Parts: sequence; C-alpha cells; structure tokens
Amino acid sequence: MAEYEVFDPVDPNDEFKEYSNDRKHRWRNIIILVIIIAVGAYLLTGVYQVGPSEVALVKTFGAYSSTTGPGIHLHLPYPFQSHVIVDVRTINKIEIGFRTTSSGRTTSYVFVEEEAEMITGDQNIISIEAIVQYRVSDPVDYAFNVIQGDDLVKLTSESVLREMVALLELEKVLTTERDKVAMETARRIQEIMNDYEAGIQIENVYLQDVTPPDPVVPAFDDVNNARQDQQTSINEAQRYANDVIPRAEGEAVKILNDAQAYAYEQISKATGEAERFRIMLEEYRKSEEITKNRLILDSIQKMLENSKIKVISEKGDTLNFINIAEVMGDD
Amino acid sequence: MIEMTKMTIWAVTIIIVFLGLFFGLTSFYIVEQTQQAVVLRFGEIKNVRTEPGVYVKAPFIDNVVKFEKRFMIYDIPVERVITFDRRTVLADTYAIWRIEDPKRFIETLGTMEVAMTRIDDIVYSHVRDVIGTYSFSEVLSIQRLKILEEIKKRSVNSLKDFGISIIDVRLKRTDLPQENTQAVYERMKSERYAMAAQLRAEGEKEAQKMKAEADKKSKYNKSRCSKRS
Repeated sequence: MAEYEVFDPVDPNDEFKEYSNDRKHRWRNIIILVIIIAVGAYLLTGVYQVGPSEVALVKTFGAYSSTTGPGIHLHLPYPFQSHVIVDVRTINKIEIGFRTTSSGRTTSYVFVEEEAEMITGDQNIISIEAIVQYRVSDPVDYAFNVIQGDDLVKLTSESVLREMVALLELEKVLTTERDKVAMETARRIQEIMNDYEAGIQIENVYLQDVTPPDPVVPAFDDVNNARQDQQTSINEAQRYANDVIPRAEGEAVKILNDAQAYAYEQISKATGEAERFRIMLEEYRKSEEITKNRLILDSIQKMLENSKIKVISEKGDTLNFINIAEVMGDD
Repeated sequence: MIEMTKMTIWAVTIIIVFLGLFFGLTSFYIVEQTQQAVVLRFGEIKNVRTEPGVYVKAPFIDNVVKFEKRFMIYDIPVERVITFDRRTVLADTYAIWRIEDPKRFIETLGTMEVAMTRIDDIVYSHVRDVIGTYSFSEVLSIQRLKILEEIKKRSVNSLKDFGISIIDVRLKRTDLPQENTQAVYERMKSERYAMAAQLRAEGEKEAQKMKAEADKKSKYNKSRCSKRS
C-alpha cells in the first residue's frame, strides 16, 4: 500500500483520503467532546445549592449521612450520594375556615363554610376562622418520617380545634374561653406532632373570627340590641327618678316653709291682738263706759262688714226693706 | 490492520463498559431513607429490606418492589353514621398509617391502591360500629377522645394482619346533616330571641321599679313635711 503511494504521488484518491482522514479526526473530536460533556454532566449531579432558609440532607446510598447549610456544595454523583432540601426557617401558614386568594396585588378571603362551622358542647353551631403557623424544627424527622407534612398539620389542626370547641359551650367560646381554645389547640397539635415524630414546631394558633353562623347573626344582634334597650329603660327610669325626687323634696321644703311662715304669722297676729287688748284694757280701765260702747260698735261694724244684712222694719203697713250692704256702699 | 485492531479494542471496551454498567445497575439496588423494599425471585419473596442502603441482587431474576416507609395520611370520605339514639351525624375521619411489615403487605394486599380500599373498608366499619354505641351528644363532645381511641384500637387490630400499622384515627369533622343544621339554627335563633325578650322585659321591670320607688320617695317626703307643717 505504502509503496504504491510513493510511485504515484498524484493519486486522484489522495484528496479523498485526506478528506476521510480529516473526517475521522473530526469524528474522534466529537466523540471526545461528547464523552467530556457526558462526564461533566454526570459530575454535575453532585453539585447542589442550598438557599438561605434551607438545609440539605445528604444521603449516601439512600441512607441519611449529613446535613449542610446554605451555599453551594458538592457531593458524590448519582448513584452514590443524593440530597433533599428542607426549608427550616420559613413559617408556614395553614388556614382553617377560609382561604386567602391573591390575584396580583389584591388579596381577598374566601369563606369555607363546611370547614369553619363547628359544633359546640351545648350542640350549637359556631363559625371559627383560624390560622395555624408552624415551621420545621427537625429537618431529618420532617423529611424521613412523614409525607405531606402540610396536610398532616392541616388535618390535625382541624380535628383538634373541633375537639376543643366541642368541649365548651357556645357562649364561652364566643367570649371568655376564646384565648384558652387557641392555646390549648396549639398545645394539643404539638403533642400529636411529637407523637408522630414529624419534626414540626407549632408556632402559633390564632382564632381570627369567632362568630355565630350567618343565619343566626340577626338573632344574636337582637340580643345585643335588647341589652341596649334594657339599659335605655333603666336610664330612662333613672332620669325620671332624678327628676321627681328632688322636685318633691323641694316641694316638701316649700310646704314646710309655708307652714312655718303661717305659724309665725299667726303667732305675730295673736301677739299683736293681745297687745292691742292690753292697751284697750288700760283704756277701758280709764273710761269703762265709753270703751265698752266703742268695743260693741267696733264689733258690730266688723260683723256688718263681713255680712250682707237686710233689715226689715215691721213698723207701719208697708214693708220697709233696707239693704245694709247698699246703704254701706259696698259688699 | 492496525486500524482494525484499534477499532476492535475500542468496540470491546465500549461493550465491556456498557455491560459492566448494565450489570452494575441491575445487580445493585438502593433503598432510600424513606423506603423499604421486598426482593422477589419469580414471585417468591427472597428478601425484605427495611433499612436504607445499597444491596446486591441477582440481575434479571430478582425483582425489587419498593414501598413507602413514612407516615401516610388516608382521608376517608365523609360518611353518614347513625348514633345509638338514632340520630345521623356526618363523620369525616382520617387515618395516619404506615407499612409496618412489607412482606405481609405484599402477600396480602400487593399494591397501595388495594391497601387504600382495605383501610377505607375497615376503618369506616369501625367508625360506624363504635359511633353506633354512643349517643349523639357523647359523639359530639365529651366522649370523643374515648371513641377515637376505641376506633383506633380496633383498626390497629384488624389491619395488623395486612402488615399495616395504624398510628392514629381522628375525626376531622362531625357535622350534622343539612336538614338538622337548619333545625339547630332555628333553635339557636329562638333561644336568642327569647333571651332578647327577657332582657327587654327585665329592663322594663327595673324601670318600673325605679319609677315607683321615686314616686314613693317623693310622696313620702311631701307628706312627711305636710304632717310636720
């Protein structure tokens, strides 16, 4: 082959050979490139990134081996090592009885009746909207012991909240025991999570809205109105009493004063009379006859002043009629 | 010739690598932390692996079936249940379960779908039975925990044979059927209106009393003074 080539340097096939040789090289290059890319891609399965609120659990042959924090990390490629990322800082929120639906900037709440309505211990129905906040406290437990952690917290919360409400009376849930229900619920959910070894920490349970169910609201409002009405009646009565009693007291004082005044007047009059009498007595002693006559005349005058006396004279044939009042000139 | 041998060497290497990879992949298997596995050889159970790690198996002949090891939730659909005093409640229960014994599980149930229906049947029947022995008010409130405990105990016993362990059975909701809900609303309303009426009447009463008291006081004062005068 080689000899042949020497003797015929301008073989028309030569160009073709060059070309095929070139092509072979190109193919080899492509294959090498592909292999490098493949190996590179394969090695990349060992590179992973952990976000600021997360941790990564590294598994060697499927078994948990170590935990790494935020940053970019490297582990052995598949199938030797793999990792799971768990968010351990973010506080997750579960909504009971309502859903937040955010479209763009506006957030609106949708009421979920069958979830919110619960039966109380005295067999009434109450509507409760609650929020349960939790976070992952133990990523290993959370990742490897439970599946659907979110659902687990949701179902447990719902069932525990109902349990708590079912132990109390409606009136108490609405008013005094409200905070206690939230606290007890949180405590109980935590207990159950610990039982499951779910690695979940319940941060808070908030009862957002505790109200009677919608169809009953007017009746509850009426009770409140009645309470107002009751107070109004009492206030009105108070006003009446406040008005009447001082007035009566005033009147009483007036009566008393009038009486006192009258008494004083009578006394003064009597004293005056007595004085006059005493003076008269002296006069009388001085000139008995004149005074006696004067007294009689005085008395008659006083008598006549106060009465309408008609004197009928029987002397003569004609009946004489003297109207004293007319004669005296006045009544 | 050299080119040819080179080619054959390449080909042989590639074939060996591929074969090696192929056998490697088919004769090893990894059980994840969250899994457990049963090794079947022509349908016969050869091995059960409940711990995570890498294991060897015979390629082609051995078939590995993996199952979930974590706690799972099975939400049982809402059912109408009749209490001891013949009243209907809607019971919405769920169970927390896991595959405790994969060998038993694969022998008796085989797949998760079958397992789900079995759990549904068994737990539901216990829910019905246990609730049926309690009265309505007991189911709703005080005896709830006891009822759940009993349902759980019975379910654990019945499902043990299937390699399933019931960790918990809980009542998510015990609601009244729609028609009863209306009746409860009506009762609540009438109670409230009665309460309102009473409050108003009490207000009236109090007011009357206060007014009468005031009148009495004023008259008394007046007459006492008149007497003195």
